[in-house]
Amino acid sequence: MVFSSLVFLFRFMPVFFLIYYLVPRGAKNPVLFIGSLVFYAWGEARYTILILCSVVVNYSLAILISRFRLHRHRILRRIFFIFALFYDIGMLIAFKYTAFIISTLNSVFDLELTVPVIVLPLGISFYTFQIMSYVIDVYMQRYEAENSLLNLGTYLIMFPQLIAGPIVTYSRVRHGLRNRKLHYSVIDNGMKLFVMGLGCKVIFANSLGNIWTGCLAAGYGNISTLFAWMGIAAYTLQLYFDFSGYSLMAVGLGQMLGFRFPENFAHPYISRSVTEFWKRWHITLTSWFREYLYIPLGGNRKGTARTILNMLIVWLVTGLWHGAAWNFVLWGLYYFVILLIERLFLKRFLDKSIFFSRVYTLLLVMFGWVLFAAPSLEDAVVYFSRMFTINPGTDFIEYFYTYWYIFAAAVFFATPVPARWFRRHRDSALSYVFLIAVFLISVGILVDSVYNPFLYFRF
Amino acid sequence: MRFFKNCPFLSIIVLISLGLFVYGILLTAGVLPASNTVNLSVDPENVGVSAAVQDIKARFSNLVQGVKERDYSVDYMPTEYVPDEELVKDLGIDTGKDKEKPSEEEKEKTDSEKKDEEAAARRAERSERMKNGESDEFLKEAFKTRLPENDASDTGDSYDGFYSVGDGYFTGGDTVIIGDSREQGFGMYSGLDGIVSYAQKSYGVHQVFTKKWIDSELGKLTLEEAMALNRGKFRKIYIMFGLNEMGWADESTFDNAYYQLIDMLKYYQPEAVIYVQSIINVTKSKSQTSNVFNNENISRRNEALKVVAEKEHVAYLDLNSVFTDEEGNLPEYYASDGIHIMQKYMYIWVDFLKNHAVLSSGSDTQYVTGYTPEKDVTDIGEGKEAEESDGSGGEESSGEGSTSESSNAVETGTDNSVSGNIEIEDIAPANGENNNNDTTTTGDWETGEGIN
Repeated sequence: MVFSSLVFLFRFMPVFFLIYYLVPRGAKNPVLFIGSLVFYAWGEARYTILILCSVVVNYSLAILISRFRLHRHRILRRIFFIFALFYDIGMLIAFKYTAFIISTLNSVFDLELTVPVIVLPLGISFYTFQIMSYVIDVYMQRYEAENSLLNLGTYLIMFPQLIAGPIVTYSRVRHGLRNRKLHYSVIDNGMKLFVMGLGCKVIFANSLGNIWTGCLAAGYGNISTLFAWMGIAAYTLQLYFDFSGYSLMAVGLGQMLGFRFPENFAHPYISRSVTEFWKRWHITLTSWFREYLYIPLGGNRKGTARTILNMLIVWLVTGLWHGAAWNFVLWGLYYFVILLIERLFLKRFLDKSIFFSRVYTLLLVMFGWVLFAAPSLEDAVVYFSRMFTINPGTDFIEYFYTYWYIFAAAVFFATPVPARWFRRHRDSALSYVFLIAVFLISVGILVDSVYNPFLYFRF
Repeated sequence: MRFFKNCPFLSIIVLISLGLFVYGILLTAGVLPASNTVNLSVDPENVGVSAAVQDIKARFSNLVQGVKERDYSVDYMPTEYVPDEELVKDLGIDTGKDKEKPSEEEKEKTDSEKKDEEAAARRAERSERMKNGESDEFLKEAFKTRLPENDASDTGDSYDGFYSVGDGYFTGGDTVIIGDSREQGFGMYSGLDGIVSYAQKSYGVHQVFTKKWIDSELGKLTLEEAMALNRGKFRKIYIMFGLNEMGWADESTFDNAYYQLIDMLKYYQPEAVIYVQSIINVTKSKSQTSNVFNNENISRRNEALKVVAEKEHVAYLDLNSVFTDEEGNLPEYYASDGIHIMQKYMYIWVDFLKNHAVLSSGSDTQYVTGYTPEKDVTDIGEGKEAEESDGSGGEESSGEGSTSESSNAVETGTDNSVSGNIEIEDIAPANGENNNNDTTTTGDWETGEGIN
């Protein structure tokens, strides 16, 4: 189930929250757990067992790690820890990367192994990272292992962040799971955030998505230069509203449940350097990698050469996390190179400029999305060639006339101006009217349109 | 109660949702009359709310545009189309009652003139062909379909055979396509110039009388108005509707809307050949993930469309005979989103239309390159392609064509047929190379819940 579906809005949400608010405090976690199971199993019941296994395995191993805390048990501790990591990463690789690895082996060694067709379990990249953060923290003795299987299960399978983030670390919701207070104002605000996220997703992302689909349908090799630029600009906005809209809905739902989830986006397209961009885009993923990969590797404290190597590792993994294909690897490397250059000397100059640095960042990010969005590396090359050679054509005109106002509005809403206004006028009549209109328009669009994909759904 | 007082925004949303839900229940239960243009396009997963929202939207847009409701609930009666008087007045064209007589005369005059011209052209062409040693039978066949006695009221088939034609058939400015985003894609990527496209994303068959979106010098027009404005201009009309309407609960509504569309087209474009195109199936992955937009439902709708076409005596084109694999699915690499045919495979569609043409006027005979007497003989496309371009042969998969019958096909046009099929050779090799890449990479990170 996705949030921007009528089933979720008008069936799941009312029924779930009605029960959730009515039951006494002690029953809230079981209700949340069962409700989330229903949510997860709605689309794909067979992989529910996988996430439940993940809960049980990691729960048991974390308890064991916690029990053997004495120095003389350190080998045993380490074995349990490595076993947990092995299980988590192994599952992720098995279900996400098997086909990629086999087809790569085939092409490198000229083998003819059959490439299996594996449907990616919903949200496996997200929940694996969440549970890994828990096991690592327990191993590092940042906190005790959770004694309640239900609490850990509720954490992992909690429906707001289950399938597309934000990646919530266990430390953040640990206290909330045991004891949380529901405040009326927070619940109400959560609903507002949810409606805003819904609008981002349905009004902006879905309609802008048609432009990119248009490029794809035309075939990258056939589009005019202007259409190529328009297409990637549309995709840039679509991806942002798609993903940040989803995260916003998740944060809103979290508030309605009584949790405070971290913000996942902070207006990334106004960044003045690519370094800054990655501090504003998918923040929870970036900080996960920093916390659990970059710093354990030594971060920047072991000399320049080691820092560069660590960055390389982090960005290769980041690329692969986004998709099991070579263009994602290249996409990661692309950011590694840019971030390295910025780190070495460019950032100092960028920080001084206001306009140029933003154009620079936006362009580099857009080129990055070409790599990211193209179905294959060859397609990306073709697309770049269409962008940078002169190909006259009128194919963009129809799209321009249909979508220019959505484009303009989307650009405006990607800046911090509306968010700043909303924060100040949260309870004003105007923001009520605006949000109710957003809700009605979104529902109106959802009823008609069946184009409702989530770009970050299969991660 | 305190809850609602303290959460004003949440309460408003809850109230709105509740209102929609109750209204939807009342609509579906028949307690309240629903807007006719909508006909409760019910999403089976969500009966109440979507019906209510559809209804409110329809009423709202009718209110804004000042459009009257249209009734699709009555049973179909052929040729009952009557133009709206206001429409005629608004557009200021001579289809009105007061001007009826002179205009009819005028029309007849031009018609008879046209007929004479056509007859002359026909004679010339005929003698030309006779000189070339071709059988007179061919031309008899050529005009068979236009003759009234051939309307075959007993069998219901007015088109008992299809011609193969060249590009010129489509590019004379008298071809119009009407439909949803897939038909729109055809208009954009078919490579045929001069086709008038009245196809738009999420356009539905129930909107042809109400949705004002076609640009003209008079402002935005509905399809009906555009047809009235271009009265008699079109000779070939290709229609594809159905995918966006899949969610409708009442299938007879869809049929009735389709009948009314065809009747309207017949009224304004009496000379035109009307083609009802089947709804193209979706890919397997798409079909599996949706309980509405799956191939089972599409097949059922196509059966209904076939009946519509038969009753209306118009041509039915089974596009799935060339687009689907053995299991009846659209191959994954044809459509990145499972639905919309990619540009590089559009030639399949184009070729199919070229091989399934009905002649609308004498001048069309100049484009003819072949003739097949059977109604849905799909081998004609295959046979030709195997002959002419080896590269693309493997992609077509339409096993069940009856070969023995098609051998009777009049192969008059083998020499001329090159003109219509030149592009195939240009495109085909590229396709062969790219197929493998596409199948492995699409659908990895995009779920493709989309249509329109």
